Amino acid sequence: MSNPAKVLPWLSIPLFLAVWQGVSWLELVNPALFPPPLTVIIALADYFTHGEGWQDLRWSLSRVAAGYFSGAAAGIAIGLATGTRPVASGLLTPVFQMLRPIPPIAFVPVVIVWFGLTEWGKWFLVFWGVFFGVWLATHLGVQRGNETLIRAAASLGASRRQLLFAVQLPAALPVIFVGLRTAIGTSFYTLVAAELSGAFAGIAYRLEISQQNFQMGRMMAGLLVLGIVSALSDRLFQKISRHLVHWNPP
Amino acid sequence: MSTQARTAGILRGQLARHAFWLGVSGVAAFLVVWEGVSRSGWINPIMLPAPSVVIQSAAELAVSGALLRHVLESLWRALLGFAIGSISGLLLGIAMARLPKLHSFLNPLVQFFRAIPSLAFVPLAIFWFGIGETSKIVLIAFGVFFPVWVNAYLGTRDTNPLLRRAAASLGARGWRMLLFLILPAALPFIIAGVRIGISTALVLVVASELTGAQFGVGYLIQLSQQVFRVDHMFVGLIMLGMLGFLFDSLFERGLAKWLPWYGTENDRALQPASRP
Repeated sequence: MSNPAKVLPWLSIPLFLAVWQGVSWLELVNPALFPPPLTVIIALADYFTHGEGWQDLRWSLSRVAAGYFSGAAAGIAIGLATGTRPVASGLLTPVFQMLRPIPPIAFVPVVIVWFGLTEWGKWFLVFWGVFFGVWLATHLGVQRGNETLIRAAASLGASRRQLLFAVQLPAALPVIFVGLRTAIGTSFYTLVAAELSGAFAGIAYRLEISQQNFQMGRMMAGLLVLGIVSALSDRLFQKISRHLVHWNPP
Repeated sequence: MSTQARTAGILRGQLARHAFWLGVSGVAAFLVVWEGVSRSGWINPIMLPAPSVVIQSAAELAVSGALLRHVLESLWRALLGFAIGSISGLLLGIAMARLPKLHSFLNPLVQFFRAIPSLAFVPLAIFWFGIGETSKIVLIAFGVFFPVWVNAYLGTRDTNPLLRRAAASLGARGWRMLLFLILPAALPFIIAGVRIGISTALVLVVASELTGAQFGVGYLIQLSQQVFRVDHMFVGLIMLGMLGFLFDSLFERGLAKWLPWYGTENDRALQPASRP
């Protein structure tokens, strides 16, 4: 144990778990309300071996993917339009800035009225959560493009399309990727909002059901899975974006 | 002023006016299409009430005093939760940046909790703290904590070592160093974190009210869903949008007034670490 800086990071989580387990054994708190780590791990294993774990995971991930990719595609496309055309920007920016501050979770009840408990509602919510952030990042990224580069390309005879795809888009990509990364977090949290309010499967849906059935261990296991999945997607995205925008990763 | 500069000025003014009218027509077109779709008969106007109907319902709610009460209750919760969450985030962020041992000890734990969307704690918060005010405020404080913490940490950690050494060689230590050098240097990050914290508080107040409350904008939306008053739901949504916009512009005006130098170098903090 030469270097405390190397050891310390490995201590906090085990220590936290040990204290928690100890508190639970000594029955300082009600173990039904604060299930000890061992119970949670057993519940987690049970969730994935005998329970609906994989099925829930598949449902949740497919919802996130559908909303995320459609929202990101629309955000980038419209952001490119508003970033390059002042008329499009003048018309659309105030409308989007008006809609953007409304938190997606507040839409949950409206979405239930409109779409019922169908998948469309969940996709819509994730889409709504992802779209504005990606749009704004793309819009700003394109607008902050280097004017000199654009003029140079234009004076060399680049067409509008060439200008957009060969100069403006690559220049904006690092900013767009920051927006895309933030959107990953947003998409997971909108997913939670969508599933908590009513679904038939899904990780967050299982959280709600476990709460109602007083299965605290399984609920904690669900939280664990959510944390791991969203952290993993963030990591994966970082890896991919380092590869794709290697000159300036977010 | 040279002719050229004057022409440029006039052009810029024309452009700004041009953009303003474009914006007005964009919003107007949005409202007209919405009104038209609602009145067209293609869809049930109860499901998508026209803007005129929504404004009328908003006026009714405002006159009865219910709207103000909903808004005030939400504001109070959001502010209290925000205060607790941001102060603790700030303190822990600064402490962890100043004390590397504390950082290496706590970081994995905090990062782990940061990865879980704070909304997912709604059922747990209800379980532990009931459906009263405590669970709502704990939830808001919990959600606000992380963005403020991470930005306070990054800002404090990344202060310019040259400035730090200069101050140290002039004899600054301890709280003097913290108050006059580290904190001002970390301010752009801290401000960015606080700003994310504000929007997080507004999101979580709605989330916590959807699960049950006596008053509150989120509760208004939830209640209206149960009695199928979509127009009232829209009133709630518009109030939320306005609150978000209002806080953001207040924040910006406060910045311009008290920290006029902020923004000259805020590209550094343009994209702070965030996670709702």
